[in-house]
Amino acid sequence: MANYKISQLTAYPNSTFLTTDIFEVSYYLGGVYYSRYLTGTQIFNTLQTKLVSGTSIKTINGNSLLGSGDLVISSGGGSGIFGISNSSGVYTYYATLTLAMAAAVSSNTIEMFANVTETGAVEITLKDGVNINGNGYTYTLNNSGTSNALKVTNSTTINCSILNLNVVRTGSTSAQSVNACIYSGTSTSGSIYLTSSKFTNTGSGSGIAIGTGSTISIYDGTSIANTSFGSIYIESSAGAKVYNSTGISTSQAGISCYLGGDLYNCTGISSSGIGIDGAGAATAGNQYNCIGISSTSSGFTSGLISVNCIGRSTSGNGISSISPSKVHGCVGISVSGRGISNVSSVIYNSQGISSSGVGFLIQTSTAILYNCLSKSDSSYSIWGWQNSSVYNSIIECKWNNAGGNGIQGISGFITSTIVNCLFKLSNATAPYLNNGGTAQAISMQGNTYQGGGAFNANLTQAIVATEDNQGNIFL
Amino acid sequence: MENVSKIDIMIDTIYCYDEMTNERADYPLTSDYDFFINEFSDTQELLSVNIYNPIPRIMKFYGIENSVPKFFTELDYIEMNKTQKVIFDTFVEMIKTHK
Repeated sequence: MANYKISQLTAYPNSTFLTTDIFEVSYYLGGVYYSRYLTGTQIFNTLQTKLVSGTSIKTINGNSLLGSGDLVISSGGGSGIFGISNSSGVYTYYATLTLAMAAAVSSNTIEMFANVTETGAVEITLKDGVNINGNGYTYTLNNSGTSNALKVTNSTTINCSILNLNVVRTGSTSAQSVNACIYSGTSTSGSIYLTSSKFTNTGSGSGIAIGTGSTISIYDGTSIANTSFGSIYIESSAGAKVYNSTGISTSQAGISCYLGGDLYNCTGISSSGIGIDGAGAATAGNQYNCIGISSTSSGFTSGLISVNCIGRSTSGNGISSISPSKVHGCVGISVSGRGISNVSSVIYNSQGISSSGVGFLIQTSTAILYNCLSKSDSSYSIWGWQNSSVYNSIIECKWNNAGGNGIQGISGFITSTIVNCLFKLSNATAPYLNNGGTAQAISMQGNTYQGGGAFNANLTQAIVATEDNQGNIFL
Repeated sequence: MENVSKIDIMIDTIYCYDEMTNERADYPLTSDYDFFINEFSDTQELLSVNIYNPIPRIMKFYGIENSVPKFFTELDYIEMNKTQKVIFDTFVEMIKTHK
């Protein structure tokens, strides 16, 4: 029987393989035939039954593994718009930011992998220690309600970063301080970094808003909005701070410190609104190294203390200091408005420059200039009211006109104390001081006059004391 | 604006100021004011009208960058011809009585 096989055997009907049966094969080795076999028990206990997708073999994201072809697996085993990676770099994906934020724990970063638009009243509550990396994508909330796109819950502390994310809030119509792209609620605290992120509100709310009683610190944000609240809106008087951020608006304030708030290295830009409104409804905040720019309104309004700030405007005032405040080392520049309009503040080491308006307006008895430069190309250098004071300042008027005065009085009252100032006028007939013919006694000491005519004949010296041997004098 | 002392015109808006009170009113630059624009406007970015402070005049500012104009022109009221003075006065009166 060597080299022959048995074939065409007929199976016994209705028979099944039993555990006691033996499946045997033969093999030929070294001129001798041997046999090997498996028992039925071995077969039943070791062989896999037919695979059924989803029953005896799992699926991946609903995809069957049966059949031929390639099933592409990305980023460690899945895909989605929002993802959180574990310590091994393996991502878990979520369909919505709400779900991702719910799953996230402190130190997690939610990454975004596509643009998203939510149309419901979806408000994402930020978590302490949970960061968002937008990877340059845009998260849009298009809803007519008052929901903020992102929110810090009232009375909570949060420290987190929102990086490379564009947040758009659109569709809201309610005139409230909410409806914002990001809103830090009342009495919140902590720090939020918004590096390389942009917050655009085309509805009725702000881009970035900070509620009452908040001490939150916001860093590096860019906000665009046209709400009456201001593109960046600070309602808190408790010490909220905004650093290195830019607020942009066409019709309202670029940045509004409504009840307070401290600004550091911020820029506010507006077409017809105030660039940076540091005064708001209550002058309670401070500004350091900030720039306010406007076309038709004031570039910058000062807060309690404004240091090294610049205000620029085309037809409005470069800087307006409305409520009593202290202005140090600031520059106000305007084309047709006032360089610096000082109603009632003390201003140190600052410059007011205007093309067609006055360099400085000093309007009340508490308005004082120390070590300032006032310059106008085609108006009076200073427009000064009774009992205001100017010390150690340069008063320059480049207007070659008989009206190119050094200091012009307001309605028959002129600045009352002028000490150690340099007047530089451009017209030989222009008076250094002009009170419109109204008589007034004013205190003048140690001033230098160049280029103009004699000051108004009706102005007389109010100082009655004389210098002592050391040059001291009682004003 | 009855107490207007200065008027600025930029693009399509008239900005009116009472410099004593810092009050401001904005009006659209409609065709009603063509008589004034046709006489005094050209390529300036800002046209400023001083009604009395420091003197009645029209100033035009060009090439404004960072709130600093490259140059400006000044036309004092006393230097205007008779027609221009009438136009100037009519324009100011329209602004003062604007409803």
